[in-house]
Amino acid sequence: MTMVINIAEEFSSHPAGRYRKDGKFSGEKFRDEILVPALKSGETVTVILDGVRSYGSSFLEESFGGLVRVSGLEKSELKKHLIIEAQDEMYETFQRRALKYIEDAKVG
Amino acid sequence: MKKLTEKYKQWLLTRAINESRRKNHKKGNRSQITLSQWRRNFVRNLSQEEIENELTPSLLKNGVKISPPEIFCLDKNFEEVAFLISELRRIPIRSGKLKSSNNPAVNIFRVTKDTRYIDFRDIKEISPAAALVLAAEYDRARRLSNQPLFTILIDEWDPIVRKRLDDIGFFELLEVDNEIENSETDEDVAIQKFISGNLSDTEGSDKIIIAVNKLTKTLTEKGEIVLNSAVGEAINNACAYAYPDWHKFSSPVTKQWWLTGSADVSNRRLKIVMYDQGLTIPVHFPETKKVEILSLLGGDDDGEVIKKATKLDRTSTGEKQHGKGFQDMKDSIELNNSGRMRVISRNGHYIYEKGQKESSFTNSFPLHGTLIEWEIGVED
Repeated sequence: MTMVINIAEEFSSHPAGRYRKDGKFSGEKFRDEILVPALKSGETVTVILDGVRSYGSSFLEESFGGLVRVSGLEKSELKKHLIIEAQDEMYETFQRRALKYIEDAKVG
Repeated sequence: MKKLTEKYKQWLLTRAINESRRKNHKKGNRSQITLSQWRRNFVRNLSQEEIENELTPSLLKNGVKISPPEIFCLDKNFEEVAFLISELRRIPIRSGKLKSSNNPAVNIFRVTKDTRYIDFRDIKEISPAAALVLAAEYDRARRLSNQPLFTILIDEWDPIVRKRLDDIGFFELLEVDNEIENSETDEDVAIQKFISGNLSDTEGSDKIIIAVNKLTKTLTEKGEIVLNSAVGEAINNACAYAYPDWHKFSSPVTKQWWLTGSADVSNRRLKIVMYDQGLTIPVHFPETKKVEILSLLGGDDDGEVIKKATKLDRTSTGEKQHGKGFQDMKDSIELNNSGRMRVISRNGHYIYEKGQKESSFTNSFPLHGTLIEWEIGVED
């Protein structure tokens, strides 16, 4: 089974900021309230980046790098169960960044 | 009941004022009041006509005129603009003492030599970035004192300057209707009304980018998104780092950011400008001991500090570094055929321009806060 999360439709078309204190649609909020629960369900999760009007590095790093740094998920497990998808070419830059943030993240 | 003649009414009024004075004197309060009290008590109750016909002549005769530079532009005349902003910041805080008289209706227009005012008639040219800094300063004063500042002789301002300030939302800060006809100016630059906030938000900046890009047709859809991502990072930096609790500001701040955009339609160039009044990058950024020491010395090398801050490796330095999103900001320039990003923070000035070597320098006079400007065109 695959669970699909469309950020623009299920979270915000204007996500911004790293922490909850930074704003309503922060990376921390997206990770903790949507991404981690989905991944912990055991299903493969596909995150669709398309349709969003801004992807700052603070949001992306906290959302995806934070899965390893903060939520303690294994990189090897994320490679198996997390798909970050850019359906339109214009979102490929952000897709690469999100994957790199996971790769570069260090636990603790 | 005794008939209320004019003479008797005056006597009652005088008695009430004297009584009030005696009470104030007993409490240790002199009859003189501060400029901010004066504004709070009187100016907000004045009509525009009273300001124009009574207050203005008194200010012109007795007040201290602060002359803004003719060229109100951070590019062409940084030091004088920064100095004016610094002077302006002193107005709401400084206590100008007023003479008193028995009749408050007369007294309120009596201005002493300590009362300062800015004569906007002197400004002949104003850039969007400088207009935003000016508006932010008036917004800050308005928020702190819970009332608008006032200006005088609006009808005599340069029409294009007035139009630009009107566009950016300056007159709303003054709570004045600026009835200027577009036909009075031959303006080819459209400025968006500024937005402000204290949280990370990219919806408002998106609207501004879309609006200016609609006029210039400079950016692709991807270009809009990348630019908005960069602006969002700048806003996030302002929220996260510009106003730390541990920093003691020399004057009160409202912990806001301000943002505007402008479209130069004939040249197909757009600008987005973000400004905060925070502690600045040279104060906050301690990349190396050397830079930190230079920073503490008082701005000798602020330009170099900003340049180093923009080179921060965003994946290896931890998450509490100011400047983490600078790479996003540079990316937004690289994506386009022609573009320039400028960062002014305290005394530092840094320029990143596509196809050019990055440059930095240090001004002799500081800006209160950090200003980031993106200017993007279709070609060189």
